[in-house]
Amino acid sequence: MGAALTIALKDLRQRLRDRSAIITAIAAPLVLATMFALLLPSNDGGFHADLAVVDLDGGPVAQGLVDGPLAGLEAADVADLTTVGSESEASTLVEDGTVDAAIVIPAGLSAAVSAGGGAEITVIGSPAAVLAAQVARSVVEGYANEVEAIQLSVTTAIQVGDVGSDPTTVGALAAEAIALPAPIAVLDEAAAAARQASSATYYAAAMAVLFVFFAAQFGVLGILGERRNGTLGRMLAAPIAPATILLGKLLVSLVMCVVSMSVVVTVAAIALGADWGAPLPLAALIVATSISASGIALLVVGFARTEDQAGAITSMVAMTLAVLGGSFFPLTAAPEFLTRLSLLTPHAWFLSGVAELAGGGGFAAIAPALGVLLAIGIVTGGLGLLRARAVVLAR
Amino acid sequence: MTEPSLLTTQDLRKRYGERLAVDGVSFHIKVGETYGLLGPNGAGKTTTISMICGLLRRDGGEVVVDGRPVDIGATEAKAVIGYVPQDLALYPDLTARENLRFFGRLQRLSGRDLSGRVDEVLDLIGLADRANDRVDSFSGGMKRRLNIGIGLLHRPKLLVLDEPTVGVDPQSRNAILTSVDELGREGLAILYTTHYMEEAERLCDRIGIIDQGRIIAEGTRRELVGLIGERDRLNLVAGGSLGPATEALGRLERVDEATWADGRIELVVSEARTLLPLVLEVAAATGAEVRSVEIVEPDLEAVFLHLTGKALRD
Amino acid sequence: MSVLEIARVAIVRLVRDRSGLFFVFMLPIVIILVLGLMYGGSSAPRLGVLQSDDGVLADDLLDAIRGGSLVLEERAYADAASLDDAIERGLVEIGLEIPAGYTATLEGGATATLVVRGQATSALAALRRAVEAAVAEQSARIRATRLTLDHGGSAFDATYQAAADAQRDLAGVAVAVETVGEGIFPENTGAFSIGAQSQLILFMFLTSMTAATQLILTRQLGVSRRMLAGPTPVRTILLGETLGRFGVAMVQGLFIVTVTVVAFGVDWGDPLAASLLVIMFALVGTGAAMVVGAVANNPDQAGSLGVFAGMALGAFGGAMVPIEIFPPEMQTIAHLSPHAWAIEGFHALLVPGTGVVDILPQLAALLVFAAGLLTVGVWRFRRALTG
Repeated sequence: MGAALTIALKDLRQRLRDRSAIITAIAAPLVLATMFALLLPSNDGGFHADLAVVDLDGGPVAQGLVDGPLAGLEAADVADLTTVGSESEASTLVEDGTVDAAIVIPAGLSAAVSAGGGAEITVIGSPAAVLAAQVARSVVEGYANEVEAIQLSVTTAIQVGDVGSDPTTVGALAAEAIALPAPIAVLDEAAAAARQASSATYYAAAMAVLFVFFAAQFGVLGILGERRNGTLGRMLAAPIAPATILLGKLLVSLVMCVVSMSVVVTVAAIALGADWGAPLPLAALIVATSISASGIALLVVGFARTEDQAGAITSMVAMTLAVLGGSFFPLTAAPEFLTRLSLLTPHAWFLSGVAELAGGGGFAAIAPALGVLLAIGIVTGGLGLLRARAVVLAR
Repeated sequence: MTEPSLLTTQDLRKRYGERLAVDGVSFHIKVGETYGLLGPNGAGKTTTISMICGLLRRDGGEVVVDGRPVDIGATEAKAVIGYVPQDLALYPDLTARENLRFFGRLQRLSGRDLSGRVDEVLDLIGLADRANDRVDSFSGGMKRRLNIGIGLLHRPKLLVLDEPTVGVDPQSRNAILTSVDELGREGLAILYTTHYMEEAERLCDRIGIIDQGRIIAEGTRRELVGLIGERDRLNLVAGGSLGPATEALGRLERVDEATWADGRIELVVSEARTLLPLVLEVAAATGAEVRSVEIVEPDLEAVFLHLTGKALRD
Repeated sequence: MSVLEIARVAIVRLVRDRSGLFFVFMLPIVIILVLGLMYGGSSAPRLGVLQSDDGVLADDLLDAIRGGSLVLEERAYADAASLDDAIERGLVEIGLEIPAGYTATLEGGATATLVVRGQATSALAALRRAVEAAVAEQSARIRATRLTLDHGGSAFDATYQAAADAQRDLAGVAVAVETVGEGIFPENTGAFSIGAQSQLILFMFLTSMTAATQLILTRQLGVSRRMLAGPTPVRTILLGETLGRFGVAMVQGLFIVTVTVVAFGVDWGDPLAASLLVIMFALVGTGAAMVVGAVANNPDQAGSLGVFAGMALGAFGGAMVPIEIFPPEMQTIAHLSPHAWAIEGFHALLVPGTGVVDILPQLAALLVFAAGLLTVGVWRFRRALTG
């Protein structure tokens, strides 16, 4: 163990002198995470629409819409309402993007509804804010259905039932229909806790896990370099077991990984407003991810002949895993087969672990992620160790 | 053979695929002896050394150093060996002192002992004033010296040098040979591989000639040369009448052949050095004015040529 | 001819290097594919449905939601735990639970309760309107059915069907839709277009950055010195190396454009305008490569620094996240990068009928970048070569 430590310390000293390690392991993920934090609007899960309302009717039905569901939107902080005088004015506002959509209540709506006739409410939308227009339409349609409900009840009873259509009966039926209780209640269940990282947290985590796979190469790939320049032979001639050398190198990889991720996580928490949740489980997650990255790096070493080759394979493996594992694009928006595919990558597990912790979870919540990450590390590292022993000895 | 063997190898074998790189190599080195392994590139020298130092799994045979069998995991035996690889096995981005300290630690030196030895070795290899400079700022010769110095750190009983002068300028090469010579005189057992026969002749008490993975001859330089029974040559550059002188010299007891041409007399003799005074005397007496003398003794190059039918260097 | 020979060697070296091939040709296509699959399909908000009732009214409610104005992508879940999990992970924005016995309760005249779940965001409050509209529609039918059953209606099912028919024929209040203004991207934009454009820009620049490492190595390996020692004038070597970088960038650019057209059906717009953009951006990359290749001395450092600078500039210039969603001030600052101009140009070409004239500002900006970088690069490289 002492010799492994000696080897690890020597390597770390070399890495400190070689700026490319610091660039790759620390500067790159930090700068990219910062850029994403700066560039992306931080409206996590938020939706907001500016709606213009043109009330050309002024009657009770129009008032019902404005004071009822539309006021509800405002109360729920979904929309801000602006009252506008004319349809053309509203149309201009939508076109130039001042508001996202406009609702035009036609003159005579209230009169038409009470007379049992038809009327048409217009929703003006823009392709730039499709969702806002859809929400506005839904609100209006819901309200229209409510308004029509009594009329529909009376009509159906007359058509299908055994009642006449004389005004007295209609009046009685309408009163009866109004008295009927609402058949369906919509209950909002206590909002679910988010187990989702904010976008600053997500991108800091994504960059940390992307670059940790590059950071991992700085330890174990060194075996190939030492073999090339002969220092490996010199170490083997010393009174230490070959496994000790591998252990020392693996230690360097782990330290590089843990330091890289820790620095990114810490800086992101301080400077970028990332929220990582409980620190101890996060530390465990970082260590587990570092183990899986080091294991994969060791496996790569086992199959490479030269440092250059190993570096190239590492880059390919790291980039492929990162793309599939959601380091570049959040997988929450992905089709299900991609989400399933992503479970093969350590990246996805680390990111889901971060999400759990950001949502207030603890060790129990990240146990599966920890388990999978460790398993990936142990399996790849074990295979790599077998191959790398041969690399050490086959000179 | 009263002195004990420090290194014994018995029937070492290593196979790479179909090729036998080392095919039954056996030799021993006594305490204080410098043993040369002489052979062309690709003869199996480095493979043999790698097995002796426990860097390489062997396919057969045995290595015993200082009474302990050597293997890849044999740390006790490895501690006795100082290995100097052929490559400059140094970290260019570390200083000379950091290199020494690192390998010293791997050799289980620590604390004051380590610092003391590092300073001693830095003095020994003449790099004390450059100790804190990065190795990549060193000249080739300085790197070579450091390369050897690392092998000496832990006071090994057996120093194994793998072609330490390859690609070295003549001046540094001479310095290396002198220090190896001194180390040998101080009582260190040395295993020295080379494909330069002059180095083997100059440094080694005994020499094993290796080719295609086998030791094909072994002994002191004299013994090896004796193997091919070749005679020395004596060449005299002289003025005056050479005919009578040549005739007179040809009649001497240990002179087998005598010819002359273009102001030169060439003699084939046995033990040229002891015969020289007599030759000069006879030449002067018979009217030849000798201006210079050249003694050509048969060398290991000739031995190698004789044994394998090919030149040592290609 | 030596110019072309030097350029040819640069391209050959790129193609021989297998990891180079991966980064230059494979990775961009893979990312374009993944991006297209992720964002190119429906970008509609997702509704997670836990349907514990298999009665007609439950199905009818879901049909009402599907027919509503708010377009939602529906995902079915088998139990509450998995629906909750999906909500908490953000896999669906809103969850709807239709309880067991929903149909029976409504047919029996009692009040059924639906549960809406979600993270407490304003998006949930907005998407909830889709459920509410559908509920209002179904409620109206059920009220009508109940009233009719009290007045001689026969079976629930038949009456409900009659109510539904009546609802369809009712004059009532209709909702008309008008659309004005333009979207960020034209509606016919293919699933892969935006990704293909941004990845083309991102990777052309990244490749130029790695090509810079090749330049440093060429200098350090003494190849350039050997060239200099021969009868080749410095001017030829410079031109050759520049042309080499340019060739590499163009080979990659054309590859990405061709593959995305053939495999993903990406429409790059006016061919002449698109080609000019690619050529201009290749020149920008070439200039950047020459500058880095002339100024940097450590190929390892330049390699890692270059790749990461390429990614950072790419992100900054909108090659990773569309520049349209940057905060407004960042959108302005982003135009300090050539990436932003190139991508802006490509986006403009998405609108049918746009051509070279419409992207003249972008082309001019890229030309300025290219000219500046090439001048500095060639000047520094000449100095590095001749000392």
